[in-house]
Amino acid sequence: MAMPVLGAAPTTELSKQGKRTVLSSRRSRSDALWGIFFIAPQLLGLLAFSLIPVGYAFVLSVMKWDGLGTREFVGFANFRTEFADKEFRDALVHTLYYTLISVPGGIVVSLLLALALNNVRFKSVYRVIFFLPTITSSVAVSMVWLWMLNGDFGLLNTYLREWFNLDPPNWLVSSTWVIPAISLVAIWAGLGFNMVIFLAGLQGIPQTYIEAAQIDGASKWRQFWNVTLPLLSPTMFFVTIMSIIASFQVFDFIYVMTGGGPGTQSTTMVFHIYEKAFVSFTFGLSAAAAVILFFLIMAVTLFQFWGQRRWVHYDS
Amino acid sequence: MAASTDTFIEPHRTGARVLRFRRSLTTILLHTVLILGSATMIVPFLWMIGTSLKDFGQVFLIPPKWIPDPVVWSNYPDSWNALPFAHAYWNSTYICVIVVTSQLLTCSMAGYAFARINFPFREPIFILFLATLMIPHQITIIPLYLIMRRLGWIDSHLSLIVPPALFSAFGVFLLRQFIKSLPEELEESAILDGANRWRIYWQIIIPLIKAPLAALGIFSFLGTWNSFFNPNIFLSTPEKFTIPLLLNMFKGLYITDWTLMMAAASLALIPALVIYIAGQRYIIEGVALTGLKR
Amino acid sequence: MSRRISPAGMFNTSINRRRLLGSAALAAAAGSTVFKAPAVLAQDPVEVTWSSWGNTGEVENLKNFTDSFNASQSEIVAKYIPVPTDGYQDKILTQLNGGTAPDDFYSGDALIATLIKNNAVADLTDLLSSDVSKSKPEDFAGDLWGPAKTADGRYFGVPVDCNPIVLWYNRTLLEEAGVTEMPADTYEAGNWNWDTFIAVVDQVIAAGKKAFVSGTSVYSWITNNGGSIYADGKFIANEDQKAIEAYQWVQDNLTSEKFIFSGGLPEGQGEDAMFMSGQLAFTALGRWGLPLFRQNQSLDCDIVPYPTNTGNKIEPSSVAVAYWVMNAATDTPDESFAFYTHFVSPEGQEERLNEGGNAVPSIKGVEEVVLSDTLPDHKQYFLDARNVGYGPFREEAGTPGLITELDKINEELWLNGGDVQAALDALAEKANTMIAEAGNA
Repeated sequence: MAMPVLGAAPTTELSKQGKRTVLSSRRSRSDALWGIFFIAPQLLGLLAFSLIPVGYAFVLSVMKWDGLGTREFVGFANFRTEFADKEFRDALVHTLYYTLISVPGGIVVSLLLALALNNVRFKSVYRVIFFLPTITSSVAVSMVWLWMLNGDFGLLNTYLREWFNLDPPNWLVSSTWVIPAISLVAIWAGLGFNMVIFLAGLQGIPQTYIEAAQIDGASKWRQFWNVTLPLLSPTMFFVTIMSIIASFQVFDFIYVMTGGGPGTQSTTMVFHIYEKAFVSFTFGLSAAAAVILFFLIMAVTLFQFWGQRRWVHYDS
Repeated sequence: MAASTDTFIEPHRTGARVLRFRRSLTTILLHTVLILGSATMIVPFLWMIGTSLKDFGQVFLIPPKWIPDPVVWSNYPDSWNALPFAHAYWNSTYICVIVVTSQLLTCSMAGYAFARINFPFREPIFILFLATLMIPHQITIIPLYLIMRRLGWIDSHLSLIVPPALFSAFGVFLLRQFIKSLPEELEESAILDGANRWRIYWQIIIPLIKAPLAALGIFSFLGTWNSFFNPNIFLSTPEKFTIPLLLNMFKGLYITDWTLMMAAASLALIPALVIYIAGQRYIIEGVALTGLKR
Repeated sequence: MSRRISPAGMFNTSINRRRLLGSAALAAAAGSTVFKAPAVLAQDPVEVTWSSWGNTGEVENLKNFTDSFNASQSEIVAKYIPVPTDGYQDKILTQLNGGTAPDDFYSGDALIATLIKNNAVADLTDLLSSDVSKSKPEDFAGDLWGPAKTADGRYFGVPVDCNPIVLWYNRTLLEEAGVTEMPADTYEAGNWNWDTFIAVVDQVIAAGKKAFVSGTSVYSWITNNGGSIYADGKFIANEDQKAIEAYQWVQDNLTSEKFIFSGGLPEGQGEDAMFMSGQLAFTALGRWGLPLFRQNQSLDCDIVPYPTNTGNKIEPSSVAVAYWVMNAATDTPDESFAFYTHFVSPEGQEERLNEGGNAVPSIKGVEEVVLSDTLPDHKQYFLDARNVGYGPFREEAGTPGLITELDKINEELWLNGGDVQAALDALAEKANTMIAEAGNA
């Protein structure tokens, strides 16, 4: 399909080549300074309030500490203990399982939602309704769902029994259903969030490209797949990374809704980290688990950054 | 050639009726799905609002009672008076305003730099930003507390304002992505015209990222408005508490004041809702792309 | 191995004595001197900070208590810092690390052992028996010490008050189910045992209502069968015939759906709501349900101790206890202790628990607090239960993380069924290993 010709393009190309050597060195020096200037406040915040606490986690991971007394250096013992701990490995599995359900599910649904709400009637009303869960604090959301999903008296099961004559399980205390149930709550709660980001992303897609595709006779699907989606890819990249980072660290829902149960069936990594610190008072183990989680998330994120060359288009 | 159902293209004369029918069918289907979806979104809220107007004895009836009977309006003033909410609303509001404004500014600056300015160690520093998102706050709270103590900011709102105002990896990442997807030509021409980076940032970039800025504003507001963990750790004086702290105080060790808690939580929703409705307008109306003629 | 947390040692600033300009309120209300002046008289009032968790009603009550303490004397100004229940432990730990913890504070039974181990809370053995103490160890009722008293008999905390667990029952519900003799009357006649209890349960279920919600920990049932859980520092319930019998009984009742497992409810917070809504016949709660139940006009309820299976009228049952501790690093030990002992003294407990109180005094001599209340009818049973009951087990609560681990095993058993003996053996193994590791035998 024909791309609209952008006004300044040709001259810039020529100018780039011609003036490159003159401008570049001067530019790169001033750019370095400008760069530092622009990131200065954030960098300051990072150094002052973030780096030290994060570094502390790493230091703590090789110590033995019960939260109050002295710290004792133990080398990699904590890591060995954690890897050997069935509960840790289970927590890892549960977290991955949860991520696998909630991230793709959440992204697909919120993308569809954003597309639908981009040009439909009453979109303002819908946008508010779908964002309601995100506005509420996760604690309130968790409590509400805790009651809705209760096996005996909860709303969901009461109506499932009454209207459909089913015999539904007790969602949050069933080993099979607890993680899917929490994932659904998470998708529900996070829909509005991703929807808003996708909406913002859709706004940034120049109508000209879409129109050009239409002129060429592309179907709605092809318009979406070949124009919208690639242009949305930076947003998609962001949403994917943030969703994965967030889902790897799910805590609030678990804390309020299941306490890690039944047994340990819904204990996720961060819940395990929390328990090891504030319940068992073994901060060293907790930090070790946190470090392992860190490397896991970092690996996944770096992999995505490396992979973005394939599918993320910043400027067509 | 598949027929487009978009309003932009005028329907072929012969297939006009078919097109209109197909269009309305799709629309009906779409609305059905949306309405069902909305129902799922809204049901918990109906329960929340319903509970806030109930007498405690009716909260957990089977079958559930949707409409409170009698309607206990007094739950609202009761919940307001039970705890220093006037202070809390003021605290939460001014903290949010400062943090959001500051984040919009500093995140867009940093986002621009990471997206467009070449400076040494740009990529490693960016990864470092992201890295800080990957350690759960349960572990970092103790050293953060010690830092706050060193600064003398315990039981002060500064501990809640300054760190997020200055630093938000989320915000930086979000804006970097959006800025990166802007056409480079816009800046190139400005640079050739002799504009410096600040002018480019202020006059070209900012107007173009209204939508993601609005999104960031919304999320930043929500994050600060609903934040519980840090305020809980850093604040001691009840008059300095923020709203989530007070909400949690309806919850005792054994007993929770459900009706009052839901009343207070429903009230606390309102400012967040207002901000959202105001903010999302920027996301709907979008942005006029200067330099790119439609 | 562990060192004293000293604020001065960690950072430059420390908890200074905050000199307060005497507030008018202090001078004015001469009133009763409720406490004895500390040995060292400070010129300006000394500030003592203290913290607890609580919901709005409880916090209000404690605030009033603090105000009246301040009004009654002028040497000490107590400053109350309420902390939201959910974040309480996280906050106290963080504060202890930062050297800014309050002078006196509440501690859950699971936290106190770690506090003791790290010398974060003061050894109060001497102070409690001294002249300035209004709360000597022998003044406390029942056996509520648990982890607050170490194996070698030293006291690091006292029960701030207590909540003996009894069975609340809904009279209207029982009547409608056809129950003619109320459990309290059965108890008075000496016939309140497992058989009569189950008979009532059956009637309730036949009437289509829920009878009883069973919790994760069923120690009360074990002891009401004459069994024991811990002995000589070890978990022995898996070898105690009566304990095994009790476990099996609970499981049978769960399987036959006479009991419901509370697993899906948030920490018992749902049970009282169910009870309030008239859906549940019996609920095992302490006195904390009273303020809430009182509000509900349509709820007609009463209490009865646990039914026994030994032939005795009453057996020891579980008592929920929270502890009151003093910061080992307090700058103002005398004043902090003065407030401390006042808080749990007979007058202090009476003041806190009077009129809508939600707990039972842990100290002897103020039974009137419970008895003078109009509700419930058989309030005497709270005291009976307290006097023979037991607080948390030192071996268990004193081993960090043990309770949570045991809960996990129990939950599996109650939810998914399984062999009771196997579960008890698993509990024993877990418990004894962790106890030994913690050096807590």
